[in-house]
Amino acid sequence: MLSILAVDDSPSIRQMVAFTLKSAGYSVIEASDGADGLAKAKEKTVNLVLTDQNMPLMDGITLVKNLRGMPSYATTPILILTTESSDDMKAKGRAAGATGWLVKPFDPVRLVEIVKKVIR
Amino acid sequence: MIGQTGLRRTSVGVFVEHVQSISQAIAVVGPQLRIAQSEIGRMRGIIDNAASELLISFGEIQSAVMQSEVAVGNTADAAIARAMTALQFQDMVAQMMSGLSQRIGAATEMLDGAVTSDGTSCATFPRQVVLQQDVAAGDIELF
Repeated sequence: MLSILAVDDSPSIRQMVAFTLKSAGYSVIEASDGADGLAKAKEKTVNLVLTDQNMPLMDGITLVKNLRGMPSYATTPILILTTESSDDMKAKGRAAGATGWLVKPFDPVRLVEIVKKVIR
Repeated sequence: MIGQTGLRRTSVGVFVEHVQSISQAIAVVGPQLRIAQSEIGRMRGIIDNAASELLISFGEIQSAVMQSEVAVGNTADAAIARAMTALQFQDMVAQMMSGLSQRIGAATEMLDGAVTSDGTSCATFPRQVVLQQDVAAGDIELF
């Protein structure tokens, strides 16, 4: 079963993401911020990372930079799911190595479509 | 007629009155801002709680729909997807309330500083992170 790491400091968003992706047949590991996400990504290599941007301890873009520095995550799809929609932030995400930028709120059907499109 | 000295005394008197009225206003506004900050915290708690309950209910409904042997068609799936999208108002509102609370906190610090120090303040105002106007699903961009 393909596994996805869902990183968000909002418990309700984590619940919604996990429920949506589990219903679509994926295994989901949850993390409550970037630092927790990085620790869990090191514990088990996942097939896709879906992360929020604004979080305590470590933000999403810093998490992307850290993951891209690890050989096991050099080509893993990493999607940023955030309320942030500015071109400036998107450019920073792209420069850090993110695969895509999804602006909240997310449509569960569209989220599954995008995950299916990019996951390896 | 008021002479030069009298005029100067009058101006100083007006200035002192202004300063006193500003100080009195600050003394009233500061506590009100702290109350507003506390109320924002309680509002956030109520919204978080309500959203969590709704999320659990929608999850149970969706599970029941998925396990049901009766075909409910795409209408139920679409309705649940729309509800899940709209429920994310909680995350957006929580972030906005957090920003608002920080903004009020910084303003309160500035007001406190205006009374007690030389007018400089190290209060920092947060950046706006939520600009959405509704709960329509956001844009997706693959790089």
